[in-house]
Amino acid sequence: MIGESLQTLAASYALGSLEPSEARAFEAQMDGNAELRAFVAELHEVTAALAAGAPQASAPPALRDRVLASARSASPAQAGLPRVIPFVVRTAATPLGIAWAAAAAFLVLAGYQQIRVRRRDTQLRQVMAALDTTMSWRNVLEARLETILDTNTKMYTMSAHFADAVQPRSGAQIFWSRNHQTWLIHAYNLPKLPEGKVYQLWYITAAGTKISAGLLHVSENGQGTRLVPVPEEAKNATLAAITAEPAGGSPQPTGSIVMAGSVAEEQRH
Amino acid sequence: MLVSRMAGGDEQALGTIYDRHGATLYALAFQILRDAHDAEEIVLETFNQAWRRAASYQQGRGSVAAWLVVLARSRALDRVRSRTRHTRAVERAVTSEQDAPAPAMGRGAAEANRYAEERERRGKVLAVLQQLPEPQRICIQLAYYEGLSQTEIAAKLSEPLGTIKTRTRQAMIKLRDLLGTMAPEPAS
Repeated sequence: MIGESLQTLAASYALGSLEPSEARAFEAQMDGNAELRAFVAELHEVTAALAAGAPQASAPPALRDRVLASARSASPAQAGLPRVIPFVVRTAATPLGIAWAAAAAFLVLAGYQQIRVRRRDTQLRQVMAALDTTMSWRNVLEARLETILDTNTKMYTMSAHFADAVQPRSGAQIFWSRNHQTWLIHAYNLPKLPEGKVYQLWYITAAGTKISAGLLHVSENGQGTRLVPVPEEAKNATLAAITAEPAGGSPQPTGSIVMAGSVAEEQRH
Repeated sequence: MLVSRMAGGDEQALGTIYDRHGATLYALAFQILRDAHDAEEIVLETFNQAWRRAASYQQGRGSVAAWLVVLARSRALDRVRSRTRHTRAVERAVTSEQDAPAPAMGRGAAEANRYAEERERRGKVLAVLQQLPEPQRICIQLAYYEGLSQTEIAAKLSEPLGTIKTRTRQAMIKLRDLLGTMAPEPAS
């Protein structure tokens, strides 16, 4: 179940209405939330359908040719094609056997070039896909760094609330950027949860309202880092908490608090 | 699948995708930018990007139409936002059905059929939009077709930003439910 605040962000994101920093933070949040990604995909289908609602306007017929020509010039298959120097075989002055040999050599060369071009094409597309992935990750890291380096960022700490105190060294830090309205949370030494359970982060307001800030995925070494946007209704949050919830998360906390800390204004570090 | 073929360098596949979606993307870009030259450039850039990045398209994350519309809108919005704000006709009323231009002269039968199909789809989308409460519909029209940010919509309508955000969310979810009953696009 996706909370209203996240739905609101998702709607703005799908419409392209978020500021770049907000969009980056939201994309980082989507990375670890399959349900949110699916919701955004549904909203993108809405934006696709709405395109048909624009008044019809006739595209110039030549535009199709320009699109194809542009693709042709951008095609790795074409860009990577080595120039073949044309040659003329004067059949009247050349023995027939030489002409056939030249033709056969040309065909072999052409076939070889085609294989090379296809191989380059595949390699280039793989590189492009890898570049896309790298760029996405770079954006995530950049957004995290922006949050930490923001002059209006304050750091808060969370401490463990385990009933059996088996993880005394567990803890978390929250960097709250007021300018970007984002939280960067970094938790460490979190114990591995049983199968079917996940960690979920919460904003808690002074009135006691609990608003989901999304799931916190924890690595094998017990660390979890996540950048989340702070929605309007959570801007006055005074507490942050982490609970253990059923897989997929809960609209309201159902599990025990494993970590909590004050994020009230006076808790400045 | 057409996009896979396109990723393999198949220009014919690109041509087919253009035939299916080019007119819609052009109309959308023209609606946002109100400039034929800019709209052409957006369509050109969109298909160029789609061609180059076809290998990274993931079917599970949305339809081809959604992929292309996101690419085109993003470019169109960037362009429109880079223009001087005061030159934009933000006071435009929502374009009425009567504003739709007639099909270009000399179209072939296939193109005329496509035009008729587009017109029918447009009629359905407008009918769905009409089912939204007016305040929600205005938010979607200003955000989607005019390219206004939510802050600009709030200022234009003299409403709190939070109200605009809520209306937008409600409208998008209702549209998702209503448009889900429409016929799907042809498989790409």
